[in-house]
Amino acid sequence: MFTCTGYAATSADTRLEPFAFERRDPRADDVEIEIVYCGVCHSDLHQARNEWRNTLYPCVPGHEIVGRVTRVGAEVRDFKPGDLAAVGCMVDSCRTCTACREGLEQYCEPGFTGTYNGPEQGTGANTFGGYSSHIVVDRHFVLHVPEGLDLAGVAPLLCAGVTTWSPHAAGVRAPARRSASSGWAASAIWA
Amino acid sequence: MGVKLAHALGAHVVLFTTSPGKEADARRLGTDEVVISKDAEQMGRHAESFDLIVDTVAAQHDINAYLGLLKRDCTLVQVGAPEKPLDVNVFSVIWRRRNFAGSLIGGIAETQEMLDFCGKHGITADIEMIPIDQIETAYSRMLKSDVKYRFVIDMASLPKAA
Repeated sequence: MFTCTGYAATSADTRLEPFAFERRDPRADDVEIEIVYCGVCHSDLHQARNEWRNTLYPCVPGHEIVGRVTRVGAEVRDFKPGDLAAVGCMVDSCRTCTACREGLEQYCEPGFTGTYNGPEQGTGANTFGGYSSHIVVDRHFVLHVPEGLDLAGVAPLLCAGVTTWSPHAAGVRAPARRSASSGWAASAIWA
Repeated sequence: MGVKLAHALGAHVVLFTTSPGKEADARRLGTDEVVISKDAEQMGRHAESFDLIVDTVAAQHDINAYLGLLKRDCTLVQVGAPEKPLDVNVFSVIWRRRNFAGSLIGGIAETQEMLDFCGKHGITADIEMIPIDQIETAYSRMLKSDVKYRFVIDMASLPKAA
């Protein structure tokens, strides 16, 4: 185990504050990442404030994570220290159900492990997200970041980006010529 | 993000908004047409013309007004999650065998595909950087939709010892 620094909510009605906590040292298949940027998703706010009534405290939000690899486990071949890496909304899943075997971990039948608010597979322990100095994640759930992009602008791709990518990519696989994105009505209504 | 990605995928992108003030920004991001969703005449001009509608609205809204814009057999995908159920007029889907669908983030392989696509096309999000001690201010501003379009925390601002 090693000590990370981060920001956490300790209850639904307290402000996020500096928080020190332990993370596991990288296991054979793990990648340790020093976090450079973390995007702020509306889900972070919902979870920190217990608006979904399932928050485990302390809560370290953040699931739009980009950074540099600092350590890798003995079995990791596709990442090495210094590589750019990213983590999105999931850090694990059962790996055996039909959805997982089809590469659809987000629909894991027993449920995927969220990057924050867990529960961790096997132990049921809470998971701590990207508002922190480091994160340790199984390599299957670590993404490669193309070089040359503005790294801060990459962070939101890990949740907001892939959420809109997935239906469009499915639409492209089906014959589609026109597309509409009716998103901004939301910001207008929220205002 | 939807507009930038759809544009780069080669779609003709139409953005629906309640706010005419967003048109210039929408065009900068890659929108071909902007429709003011409160304007029935503008909405009517787009009836039965879309292959895909991606709905990111998390507030209550009239979903039937959008279902009617789909062509036969085409799909509206809900990714925003309003707190209360939406009223779907089933004739909207029966009449042209339309689909009202949902979608949750994406799988790991698909996320990598998206990142590689963004690398190839130079796509990133428009962001506002904050130090981590401004997170509560950022949350307050998000609740007022006062951000274009995403806050990102610079982790160099994290205290070395908590």
